Amino acid sequence: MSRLLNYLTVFALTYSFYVVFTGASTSFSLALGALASAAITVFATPLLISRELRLADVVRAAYLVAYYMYYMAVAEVEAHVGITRTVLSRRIRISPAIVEVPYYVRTSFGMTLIAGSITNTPGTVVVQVDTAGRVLYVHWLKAVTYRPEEARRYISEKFEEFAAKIFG
Amino acid sequence: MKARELLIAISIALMVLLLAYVIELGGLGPLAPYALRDIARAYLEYVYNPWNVTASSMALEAVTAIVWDYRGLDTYFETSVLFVAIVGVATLYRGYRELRGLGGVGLSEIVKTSTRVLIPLILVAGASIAIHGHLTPGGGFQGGSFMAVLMVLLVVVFSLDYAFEKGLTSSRLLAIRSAGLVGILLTSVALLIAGVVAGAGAYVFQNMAREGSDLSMPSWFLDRPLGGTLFLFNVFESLAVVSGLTLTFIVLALRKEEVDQALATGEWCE
Repeated sequence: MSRLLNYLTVFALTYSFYVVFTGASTSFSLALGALASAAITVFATPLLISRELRLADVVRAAYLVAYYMYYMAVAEVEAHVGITRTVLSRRIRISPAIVEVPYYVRTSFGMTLIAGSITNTPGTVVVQVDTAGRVLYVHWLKAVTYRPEEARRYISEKFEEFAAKIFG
Repeated sequence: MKARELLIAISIALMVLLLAYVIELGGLGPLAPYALRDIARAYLEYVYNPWNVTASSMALEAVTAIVWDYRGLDTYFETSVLFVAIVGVATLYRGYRELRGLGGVGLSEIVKTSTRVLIPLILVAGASIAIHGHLTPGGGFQGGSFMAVLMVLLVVVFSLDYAFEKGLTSSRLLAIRSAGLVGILLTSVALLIAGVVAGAGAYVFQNMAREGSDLSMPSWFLDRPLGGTLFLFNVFESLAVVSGLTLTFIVLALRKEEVDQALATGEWCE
C-alpha cells in the first residue's frame, strides 16, 4: 500500500490522456475509461516508476509546469529566431560539429528530458548518449566551442537546472 | 533526371484523368446500383431504432452493427481465420524456445525512457477505440491493432529479453488470445444459453429482442447506447487481436539461437 501514490499518479496521467483523446464528456465514456485506465495502471506502473513517490513531489510537478512555460515561451522562441535568421541570411555562416555535452542528473527521466529539450529546439540534435560516461553527443549547427563544459553552458545548462528539480 | 520526373508526373496525371473519364462514362457501372441503395437505407434506419427493437442493434455505428450483428457469423469466422493464421505462424516455428540473456540491449536510454511514458497512453487510447466501437468509427480490431503497436515498440526498443522478462511470453499471449476468442464465442451464444435455461426461445448471435424471443442484451449503459453484444464483441476482439498480433511479431522477431533447434529437428522437442 506504500506505493499507492505511484499508482494514483499513473492513473491520473492515463485517465486524463484518455479523457482528452476520447473527448469524453458522457458518463458512459468516463466510467468505462476509468475502468480501462485502472486496469492499464496496474500493468504499467511498475514499468514506469521505480522509486516511491511522496506528497512532497507535488513541488516537482509544479516545476514541470513552470518548465513547460519557460521552454515553449522562451527557449523555443529563441532557438527558432536564431535558426530563422541563419536560414534567411544572404551569407549563411554555420559551423556544424558534434560536441560532447555532459549531464549530471541521476535519473533516466531527467536525462531524457534534457535530451528531448535539446533535440526539440532547432539547431541542436542529440545523436547518441553514453549513460556510463554521462555524456550526450549533440550535433550543433552553430558550434562555438568544442569544450564539453563550455558547450553545456551554451546548450543545456538551463534545461538541466529544471530537469534536476523535476526528476532529480 | 528531370525528364524522368516529368514523365512520372504526366503519367500520374493521365491515370487520374482517364480513370475519371471512364467513371464518368459509366465504364465501371453505376457506383451504387439503385437496387442496393434500399439495403443501405434499411441499415441506416434500423441500426439505432428504439421504436423497432426487433430489427435494431441499438448502436450508433452502422459499420460495427453490420459487422458484428447483421452479419455476425461471418465476422466470427473472419476472426477465427486470423486465429488460425497466428496458430500457423507459431506452428511453422514449433519447438522454438524463449531464451533469456542473449544480450539484446535495445535502443538508447533516451528512446527507452520516452517509450516507457507511452506505455499507458497507447494502451488506453486503444482501449478507448475498442470501448466506443459501437458509437464511433473504430472497434475491437482497430483498438487491438492500436495496442499491438506498443507491444512491437517494447520488443524493438527494449529487446525480446525484456519482453519475456515482463511476462510477454508466447504461451501467455496464446492464452489471452484464446480467452478472447472464447469470450466472443460465449457472447454469441449467451442469450441462447439463457433461453434454454429459462425455457424461452432464443437465437445464436442474438443481440436485442427478436421476433419470437423477448430475451435481450442490455441496450444502454448509463447515458449512452451499449449495443448489447457489440460492446462485448469489441472488448473481447481487442484482447484477441492485441495478443495475437504481438505473438506473431514475437515469433517473427525470434533470434537465431531460439529457432535453431526447432529448425534442425523439425519436430516438437521438450
